Amino acid sequence: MSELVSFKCPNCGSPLMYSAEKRRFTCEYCGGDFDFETVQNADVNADAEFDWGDYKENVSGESLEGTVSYVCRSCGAEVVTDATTAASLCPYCGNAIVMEENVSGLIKPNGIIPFRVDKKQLKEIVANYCKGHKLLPKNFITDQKIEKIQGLYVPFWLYDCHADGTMGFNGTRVRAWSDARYNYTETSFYYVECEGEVGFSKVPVDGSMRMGDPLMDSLEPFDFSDIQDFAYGYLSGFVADRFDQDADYCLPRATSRIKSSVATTFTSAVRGYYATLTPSRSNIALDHTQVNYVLLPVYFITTSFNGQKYEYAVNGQTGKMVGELPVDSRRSTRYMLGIGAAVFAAALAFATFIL
Amino acid sequence: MKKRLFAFFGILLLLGVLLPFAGSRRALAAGQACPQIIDEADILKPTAEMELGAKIAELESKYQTNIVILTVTDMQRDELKGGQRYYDIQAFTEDYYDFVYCGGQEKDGIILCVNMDYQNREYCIVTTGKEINRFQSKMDYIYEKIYENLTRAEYEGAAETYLKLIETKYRLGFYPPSLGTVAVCLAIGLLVGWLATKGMKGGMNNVHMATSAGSYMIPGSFNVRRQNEMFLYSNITQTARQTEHREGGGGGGIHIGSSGFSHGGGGGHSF
Repeated sequence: MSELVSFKCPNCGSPLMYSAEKRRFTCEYCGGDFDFETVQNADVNADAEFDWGDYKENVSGESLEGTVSYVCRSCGAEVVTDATTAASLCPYCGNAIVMEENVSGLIKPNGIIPFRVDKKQLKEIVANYCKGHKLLPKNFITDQKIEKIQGLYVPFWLYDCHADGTMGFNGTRVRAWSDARYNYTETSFYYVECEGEVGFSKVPVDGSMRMGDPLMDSLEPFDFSDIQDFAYGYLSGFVADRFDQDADYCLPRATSRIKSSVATTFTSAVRGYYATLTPSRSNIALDHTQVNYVLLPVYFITTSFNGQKYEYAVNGQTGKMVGELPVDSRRSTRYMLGIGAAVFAAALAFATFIL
Repeated sequence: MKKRLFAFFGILLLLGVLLPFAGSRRALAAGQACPQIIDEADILKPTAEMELGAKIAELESKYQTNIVILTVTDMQRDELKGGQRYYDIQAFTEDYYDFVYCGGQEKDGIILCVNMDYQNREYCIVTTGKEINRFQSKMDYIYEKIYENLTRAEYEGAAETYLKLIETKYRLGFYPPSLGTVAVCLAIGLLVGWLATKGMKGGMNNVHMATSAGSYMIPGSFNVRRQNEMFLYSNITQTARQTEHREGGGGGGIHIGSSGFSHGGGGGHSF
């Protein structure tokens, strides 16, 4: 059973939207501009007047293979959505809604990074991302149309970890000298052991099955110093997902990344003393001291060009854009032949005139 | 008597035709007569000598230089080094060109010397004056081409190759690359083109799985408590030192000869 939270204008009662640019709530109807506290206080009153008994009758709860339905408090429409959706927009009246149960039913997020990039900036971000790529189809930058932009809070687990242990390496040192007749090379073999510790803070792993791991990884880094205490108000105007992969499920990915970095760090600490160094043994204990559940801001953008759809993601905090741009195969072939011909000519000239 | 007179004039006429070519001495601008082809080893046929002499005369006239072919069976001359034997073909060739051919004057030119000593067959090219810079960078190429003829005992062919390479360098300014060189350059071009395009394609997709967490390491948290090493074993390998040895003696490069004149060339090479 989902409980709906929406934010209404304290002046006119119209739906409020959260502006990432101003970091305030704005009313598109009366032009009202409110800070978070004002809206929340006004909203508490609105919730108190709401008849939850009638509402509950209209909610069917989790059914139909993971879907839930809700009734919009603004226009009364009944809308079906994914069971893991925590915040959305009413498709009929555009009222921003938050499904509290999907946010707080299992675990309430420890924090949230609010959107810092405004939707208006996305067009420019997309254009900048496409610039400088010589293999893009002709007119792609000018003719590409943005079809859909969706701001989504993606659930992430942040792992704080302390790694402690020992790594063993096989190392060699080489010494060379000569006499009148021979050159000598002495190779000495060693077993090297390094014991130490290192700490990691806020290693992120997304907790949503719908989000591809490579795509979410590519959005890093987030500035975690900007994490705010979770409040429903930040979700207003955006879509938010509830995690469907818990912290235990995501732990192996975090562990794998951390272990890789521990091995690199230990190796670099002893590398300078040896000609070659090969890890042979590893006994690293990871003490996961803390796991935090946070919502991180991501824009998903769908564009179209020549009837084809292209999808990108943008870090809603830093504006970093990720995605795969299309390659014009003719341009690619032309570049390959052009560069090849230039190098061929240069190599031939070098072989003819200099060698 | 008349017959003898005709025979005498006939011989004079024949000598008049042959003198400018093979085994002859030619009057240079300085007025000194110098041989162009000195086939002391007698490895060139007379007809070939004539043809080669004609070609040399044509090239010398066209490019205002001196071109010499010298074949010997030993490196000893009464007029050089007080009659002492030479053991370095390059020094011998330089001195021959400077003192015997040019009479002690510094003149632009290029000389090929082939030593047919049965104990040590070798050849050497020496350049003087403007020809030093013209040929020095391609000396290895010239040696290699001539070597192909010499190893097959094609001595006329070696002389023809030598003249052809001189003419090509004058006419084009460079030697056309071989088919193998073109193929290698083409392969390099295609490989670089493919790699560059692959890199450009890679730059159009920045979606990659993260494999490390290095950027989330707490600064200053890495602490090595203990590091020790245990010696296991060692092995020593020895290889014989390479000593520089050039058969026939004589290093290449530009240097000052015993005459005090600068010379270029590739040193002595065995065949």
